[in-house]
Amino acid sequence: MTRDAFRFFTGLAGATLAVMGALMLMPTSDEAVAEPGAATPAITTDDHFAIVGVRLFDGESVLEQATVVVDDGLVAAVGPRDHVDVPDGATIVRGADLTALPGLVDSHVHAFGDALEQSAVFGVTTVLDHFTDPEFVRRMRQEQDDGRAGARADLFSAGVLVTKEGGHGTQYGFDIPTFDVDPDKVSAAELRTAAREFVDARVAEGSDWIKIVYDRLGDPSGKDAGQRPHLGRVAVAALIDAAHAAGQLAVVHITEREAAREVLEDGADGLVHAWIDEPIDDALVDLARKSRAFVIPTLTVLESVSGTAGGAPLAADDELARFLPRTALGSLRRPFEAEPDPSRLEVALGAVGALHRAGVPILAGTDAPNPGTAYGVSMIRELELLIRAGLAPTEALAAATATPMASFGLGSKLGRLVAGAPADLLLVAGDPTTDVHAMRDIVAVWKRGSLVPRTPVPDEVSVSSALDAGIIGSFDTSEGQLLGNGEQEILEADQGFGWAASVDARMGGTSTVTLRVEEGALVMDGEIRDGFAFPWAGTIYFPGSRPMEPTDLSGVGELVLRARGDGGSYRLMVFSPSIGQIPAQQGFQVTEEWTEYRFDLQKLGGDRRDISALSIAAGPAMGPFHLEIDDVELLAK
Amino acid sequence: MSTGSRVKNPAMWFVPSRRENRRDIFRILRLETRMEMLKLLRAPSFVVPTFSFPILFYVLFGLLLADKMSSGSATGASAYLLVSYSAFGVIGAHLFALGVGVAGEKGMGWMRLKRASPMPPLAHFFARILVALAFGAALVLIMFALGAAFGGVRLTQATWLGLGLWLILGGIPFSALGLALGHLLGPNSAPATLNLIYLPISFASGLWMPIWFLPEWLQTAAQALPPFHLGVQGHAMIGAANEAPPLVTSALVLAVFTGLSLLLAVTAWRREETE
Repeated sequence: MTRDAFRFFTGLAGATLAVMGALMLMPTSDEAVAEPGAATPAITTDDHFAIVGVRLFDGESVLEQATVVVDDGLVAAVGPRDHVDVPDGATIVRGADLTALPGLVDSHVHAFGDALEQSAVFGVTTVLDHFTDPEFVRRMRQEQDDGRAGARADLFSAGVLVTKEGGHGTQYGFDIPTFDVDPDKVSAAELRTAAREFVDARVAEGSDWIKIVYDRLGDPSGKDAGQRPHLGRVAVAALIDAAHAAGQLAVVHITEREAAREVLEDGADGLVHAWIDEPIDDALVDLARKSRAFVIPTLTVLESVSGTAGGAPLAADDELARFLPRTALGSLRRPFEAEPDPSRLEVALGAVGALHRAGVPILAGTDAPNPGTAYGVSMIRELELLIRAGLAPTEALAAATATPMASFGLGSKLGRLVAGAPADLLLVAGDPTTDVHAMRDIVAVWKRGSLVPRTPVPDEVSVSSALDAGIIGSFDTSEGQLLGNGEQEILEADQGFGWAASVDARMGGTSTVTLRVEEGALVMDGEIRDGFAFPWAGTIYFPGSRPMEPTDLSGVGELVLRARGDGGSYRLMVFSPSIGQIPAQQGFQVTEEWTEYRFDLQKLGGDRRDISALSIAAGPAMGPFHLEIDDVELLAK
Repeated sequence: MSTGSRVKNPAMWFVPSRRENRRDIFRILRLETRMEMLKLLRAPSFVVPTFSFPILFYVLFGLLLADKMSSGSATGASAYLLVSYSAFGVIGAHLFALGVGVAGEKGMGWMRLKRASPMPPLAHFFARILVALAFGAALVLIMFALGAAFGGVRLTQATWLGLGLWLILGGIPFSALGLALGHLLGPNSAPATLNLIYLPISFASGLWMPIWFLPEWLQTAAQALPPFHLGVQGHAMIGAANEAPPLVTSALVLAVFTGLSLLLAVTAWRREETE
């Protein structure tokens, strides 16, 4: 070999060796990952994919180094990585350091508005609703059954709860049937028949179970104890029996220890809420165990009833907060209006711990969207509280997945991550089976095999106009002008776009109203009629340059008006995108005398940066009404 | 070197002319390689785009923006895009080192001079390919170091080695293409034309963003593009490929592509010779 050839080849070999040496110096991973599942993105929008080498919680137990195969909306295969073949064509998702769980089940919500979408964002792919607008349930269930629901949580619902006229459940503005049979005035047979008829009507409406309110305290805060009417023990027992006769579960809303004891004695299948009044005793633990009932303690809401907003730590976590609309953040930070008393929560935690040790099934439920809670995200708090009560992390996770679906007998393998189950699954970073904190670190959520979009909620509010304090309704001009239902006519205002008539016709209601300016006041005559669950009729004021334009009213503190009328109840409603679909509202009662009413917009309207309308209206009480308003003024804060 | 081994001597391959003294071939090769290397290093129009684009893309999309939202885990996207942009960069190094280089030299008349010189022309091209390989290797090492240091990319030693060699050697087919295009294109149009080929096929081959983000028809069409095969096998090595063809298929596609490009290059070369 010539000298030149030698130099050429040694140079080439040296360069090659240097490159190989450098490659060999690259940092390596601990486990052998040079096979499928090594370094793939842990998210796929494909409907055919396999999560390889993942820690699996199937709803009951944990399996390390597992593979989950999803195809066509179903879990096609689950098992140890070595035993499950990844089919050709499946996108591989790397599972190292991640945990796959069944989509969570929130066993206690009241589903309104964006409940199902918001739940899914936080991995809650099934919600058990314990009373909402029946029309909402009907519409959602129809879409769900037709497969048109998309990537949102499935809804199961008790439909209309069973309560007494004026009792707990009637204060939310729905016109609902109530069970008003007085057991003292009818025979046992008549009571039985009435209860059965009531329950059958709920079943016919599509209730998945029967929820009965046995709320002897009325308001959970205990402030107006005894003020609200409630069903008696005999009626509740008859309703439980009627539910069983109809083949339905009877779950009972309770707020006190003794109420729990009574309904368990009377055969309740489940308790909704734990209690915060008296510590549990052995006899009650024994009774619950023997009655095979389950308990949905809703510790999250009890924490806020105890005066501490349990959702506050969630709202403070930026990783969670960026997915929460402003309404949800506000709700999380708000406790019930009660003096903070952590010892009351301890009573509930103690009861849950004792019941759990006795083998009573515990179900994770939040009671969102009550103060201190929000859809989806509050399940994280509920899991933390269940663990504080004494459940192991895996037991708490079971309470949020397999246990509720088994307890409610809602089949279709929801809540479990097994072959053949709907592909509702949640992927989190870390190991929630030992540290539940990992549940905050959500990597991806799939609903029926479709990736749930998780887009951070924009922080900014786009508002183009602003309105300062001042008179908005003197009604001193346009004397005699007349505005009727649904007409696009506008009554000029002192500032802003103006006043208009507003009725529920758009929502399928039939309420009516006529507005006219008379003697410098706005006079409303109308009638609230059946047709929509939240009937209303009245006037609406648009502060922007066109109807419903969000307007910055942050300089305003209070709204003042003078009103007189027929003695009925009216309400001021504040519409704002950041408040959500359901307006914030405050009621007021008028008399025949002109009286001044003040409304704290700072309390009603959040930060008031995007108020799109203010409405003064009658409803939901049925019947004709007459209301006059004048001198509507916004006061600077 | 004994005369008995003359036939088997690989250096024979480089001997196109009887005038040439074999003993000088390696000297020529060594000097050519060194000169080519120096020439490219001193040409910012080559070094800057070749190195900065893949590195910039990777730092931006693979490291800075690869948060948990877009990828599930930072390591996932960082590793995936490490392969994509390394392949992208290697292809660029080869295409431009050969394509622009050859076209430019042709334009300056340098090629004619070299042809008239006693140097075997294949030695010249071989040297260029070696230089392109060196640039490709340097790029791959820089990218790997970035991915490991800032993207948390961790692979087994065998995977690092296999992936690195696949990406570095996988540039050779694009040297062949660069050679062919260098002879076909004019010196002024070469950089623009090469970019017109390089950027779209890299994009269509899924080297800019994961191929499953592209429309279905484009994903199917990509199967015919050599850069797709270079990238997809790299992704397969780290377990990140979506429906990777067998390695043999990809290797075959790249080999056939190399053959066709060389054929084209030889045709163009002959045409020039007759001019």
